[in-house]
Amino acid sequence: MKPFLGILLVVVAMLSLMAAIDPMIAPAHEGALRLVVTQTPAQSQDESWSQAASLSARYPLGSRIVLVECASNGARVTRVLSKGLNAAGAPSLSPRGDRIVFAGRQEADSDWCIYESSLDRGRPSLRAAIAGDCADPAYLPKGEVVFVASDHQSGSSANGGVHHGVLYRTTPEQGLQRISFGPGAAQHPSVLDDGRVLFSMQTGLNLDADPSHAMAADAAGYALFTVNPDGTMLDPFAGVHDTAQLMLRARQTEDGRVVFLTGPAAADQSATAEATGLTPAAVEFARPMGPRSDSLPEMADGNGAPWVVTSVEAGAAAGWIVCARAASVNTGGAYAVWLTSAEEPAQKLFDDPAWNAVEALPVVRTAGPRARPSSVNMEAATGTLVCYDAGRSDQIHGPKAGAAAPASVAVETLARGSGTIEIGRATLSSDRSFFVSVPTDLPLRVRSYDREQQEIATSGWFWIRPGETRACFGCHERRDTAPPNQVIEAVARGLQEL
Amino acid sequence: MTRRKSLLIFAPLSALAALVLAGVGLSRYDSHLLLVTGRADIPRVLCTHCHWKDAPPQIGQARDGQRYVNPVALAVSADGTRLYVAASTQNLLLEVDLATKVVARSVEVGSYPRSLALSSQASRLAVSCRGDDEVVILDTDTLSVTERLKVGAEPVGLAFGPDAQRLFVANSGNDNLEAVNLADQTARQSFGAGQEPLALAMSADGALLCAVNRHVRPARQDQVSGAEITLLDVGRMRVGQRRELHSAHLGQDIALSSDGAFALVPVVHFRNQLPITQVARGAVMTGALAFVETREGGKTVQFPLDEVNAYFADPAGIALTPDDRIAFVSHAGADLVSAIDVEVLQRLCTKADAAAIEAFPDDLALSAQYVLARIPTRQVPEAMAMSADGALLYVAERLADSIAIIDVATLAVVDRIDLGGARVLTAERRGERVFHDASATFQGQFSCSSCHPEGHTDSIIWDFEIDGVGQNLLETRSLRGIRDTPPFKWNGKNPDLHTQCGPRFARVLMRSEPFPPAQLDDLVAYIESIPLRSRRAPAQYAEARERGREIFLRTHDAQGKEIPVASRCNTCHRPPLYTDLAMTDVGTDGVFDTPHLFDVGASAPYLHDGRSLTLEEIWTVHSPDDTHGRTNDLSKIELNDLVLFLQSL
Repeated sequence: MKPFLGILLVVVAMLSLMAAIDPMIAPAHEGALRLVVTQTPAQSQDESWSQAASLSARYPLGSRIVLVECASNGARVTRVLSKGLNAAGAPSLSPRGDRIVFAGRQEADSDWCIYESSLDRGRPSLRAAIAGDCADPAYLPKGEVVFVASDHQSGSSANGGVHHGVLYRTTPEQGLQRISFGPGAAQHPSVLDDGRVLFSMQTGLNLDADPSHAMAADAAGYALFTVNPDGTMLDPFAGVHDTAQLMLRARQTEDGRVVFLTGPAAADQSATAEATGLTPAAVEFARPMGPRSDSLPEMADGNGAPWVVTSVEAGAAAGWIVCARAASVNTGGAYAVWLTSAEEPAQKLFDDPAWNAVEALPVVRTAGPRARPSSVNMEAATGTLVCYDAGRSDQIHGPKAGAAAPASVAVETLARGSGTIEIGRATLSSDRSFFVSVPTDLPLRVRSYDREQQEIATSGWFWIRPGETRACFGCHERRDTAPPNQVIEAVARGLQEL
Repeated sequence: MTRRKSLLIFAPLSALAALVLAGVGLSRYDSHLLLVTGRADIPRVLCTHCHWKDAPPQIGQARDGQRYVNPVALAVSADGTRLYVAASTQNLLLEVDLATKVVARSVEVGSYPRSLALSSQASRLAVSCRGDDEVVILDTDTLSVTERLKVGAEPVGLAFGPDAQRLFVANSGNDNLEAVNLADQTARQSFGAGQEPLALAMSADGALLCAVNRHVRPARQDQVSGAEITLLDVGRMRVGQRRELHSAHLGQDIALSSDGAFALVPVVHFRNQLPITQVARGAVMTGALAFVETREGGKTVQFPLDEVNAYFADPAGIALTPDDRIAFVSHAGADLVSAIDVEVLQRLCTKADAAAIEAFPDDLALSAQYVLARIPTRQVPEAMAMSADGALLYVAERLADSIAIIDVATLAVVDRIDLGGARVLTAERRGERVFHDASATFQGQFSCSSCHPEGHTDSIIWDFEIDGVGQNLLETRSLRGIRDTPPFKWNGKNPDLHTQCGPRFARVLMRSEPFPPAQLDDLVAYIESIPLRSRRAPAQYAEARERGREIFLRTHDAQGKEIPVASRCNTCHRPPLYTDLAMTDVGTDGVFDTPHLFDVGASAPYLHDGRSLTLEEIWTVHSPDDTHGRTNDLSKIELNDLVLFLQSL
């Protein structure tokens, strides 16, 4: 009997020790708000933090992801979710609210990878890794993940920061699958309820003048785009013509809006972010081209000074979960987690002076995004582009009223090395439509010319996936219009091989 | 002979006999197949593939044992104390006491009551019984039937004329508008009113009657078409104007302003001339509210009801406040009601030039200017009725068997009337909800019902991009009576309805995740139960129809020469299902599934790509070499007889 008693005592002692070391087995209070929080170590010097900064600047050594329980008697860290990693950040919650995916790295000089962690037990497990760095993961339906990885083909991969990002997804059959192919860097994907991936992508790149400049990812602004999880149907969502703006970390909210962080773009993007910070804004999901609004009730410190906001999340019943600091307070550990709503003054939920809380997600269960069927056929050698009216324009960003009618359209891609090259010329029908087959998984754009070969307009960069049929309705036409019901002559004429 | 020896002798003999019999049987089988199809390329199938089939049920033969109410029409008494409800599958007219919110009285009216109209004094209530080709007049005091009027085929919309001496009926089965003099019922007039007119509205002064039809005028894919509004000058009893709703259809309700200056009609604006490369950005269809200035030369403007990332499928019913300030549109596929600021519509209409009128239906930013609210309801809101004082709106939630009561001041549901349908949902009922629910498609853009209204066809030809842009023009096929007619799709690739509505369908059309298995089972159960419309066989055509039937079944041509089996009508369109369940080449650039012929008279256009706008054209234009059966020997009159027979199926 005695040996059994001894074993029992040892087990009890070990459990007690584990409970003391790892607060994971601390019981969660019923109905308490739980948060997943990214913490960066507090520094003594001035510390600005921005989602626009490089990955290693966002999540310096020691950054970690923790589970916080907010009860009536205060908030406390109940579990470290990135245990064993040298740095971690950018968490995203699963629809069931039981797991997170996040970016992390084992050592100071190792690549950033995508990890997954249960909120309740175990240690982080590697979910995706690729040559270079990975960051900003988000859950797709069926547990798949979309994330940003450095584009090592462009030679821009830099340890410690996804500088020129492309989108990848995990798939059960094909492993990792690249789904973005534009010259502009992709950042901060999230998944909309309708199943599309919403992300930020650079616009306004001047690739003709100096193609290598685009890869430096410094000059252009970031607009919001959507793409299907298989990489088809890249579509502008908002801010496409606001080249001087950054629009980052967009999230769909339950009240029918999309909130994001925005700020001016400048030649030195990180310097701008650090100097001014980013401010939250929102658009209506139903009409993203409509006016923007402040996403949050006004937050100000006692002196009326603005707040520097680093993340905004909705989903908690009581209001918005915001990570912010007062602009006037910029000492170590100034960033805290706040709850704000239209009805109540901002309430501090969680603050640890030893850490900056720069990202916070409320732990909630959602229906999750809908799946979208794939129309990619990897056996197809080409894709198809059909344009209904190359002369259709919003007359603001596209050809102005009275501009010459397009007589031909060139399809271009990036040249190997520098500049752009013309893939071929599409023949325009009398209704200004064209219908061509194009190479796939390459940056593409179309440029229209009049009869005198004078350029009329140039589209933004896009791509077409193998087997995809892509329709564009016009040339810089209003994005909140449907196409008119009319016969497309080019379709009747048949497909033109470029 | 020992038992062992017997076995040794009889076993091989039995086997031999079985082989001979099997050989003979197969030979007979093949002969039979050749005899009835005229083809040797059809694979062997079980006898039950063709035999022991029953014709599908017809409209009015209630499914589910009348357990559900299915309210499809509402009317409020002038004093606002009673609500009349057409319980379509129970063949009842219900009277709801609005003080207690319970059904106080009910009366059996006839098969498939579909529409209601109160006389100006509210003493008489007219009920159209679609399944009986009758209009029933009730005394509202006693709630008893006082008259039964025989009218045209499948009556739906109703309106009393001035002083209630005349009743106007929209005969959806005859495509006409019928005026019945209630004092002298032999005095009748009829007016063409587009394909399948469904709704009528009479101006307050009784001078103007507006009718809206559901289907487009049959047109090929490269032709512009649309439904139409018929404006009848009641004083002169003649059609004053016809307004085509360009690229719009599925109008099933209409409201007139109090002064009769404008009419409002919810419609679906379709874009079938474009390939279905995507459904995003309303590239396939969007909801719209047609604003029709009724004066001579007035404008007809379609205002979109959707937004670029938010769609509200299947606009169905319309109601207008007495002061013409707010219009309500029910969205059957989105389970909500939109409240519309009518003054903004008027202002936009006044300013709109021809270019703006053309651009409005595609401008998905426009609705933000006039949509006041989106008010959620239960399943499939369709018919609506406004209280006389304009304070309350009653919305029939058809597949929930309830009436939502919306407070016009707060634009919110404040109460609900339970009509008492069965609580337990059958698979068919669940499937019917799936069929009408647009949430399964990307951004809720459309439901099954959007292309198959009442399980039938939208009469539109679409360019399905999935098989190559411009390569696959297909007419929407009716779902009525298809249960026993596999394979499905024009190319016959789908052996059953589960495949037809499965993952490929999700990829091609829904652009979203496929129906979960349980929902798919329910959906198939519902589709298999969709009834045919009632058989129409006007007595005056009985002889011609019989001649047509003989032509359909003939084996010899006019010269007495035997018609090859493969060229006989009833070879491919074999009764009772009027299909051989096989693929056939009728000279239309390919081999296609043989469609059944039920309701074929109401299924124009014809052939897989809708190239034939009428039944006659199938043979007079598209079968010059008798590739679609032997018909070139028929006279014009004989062809008419054949068409009359087909229209009776």
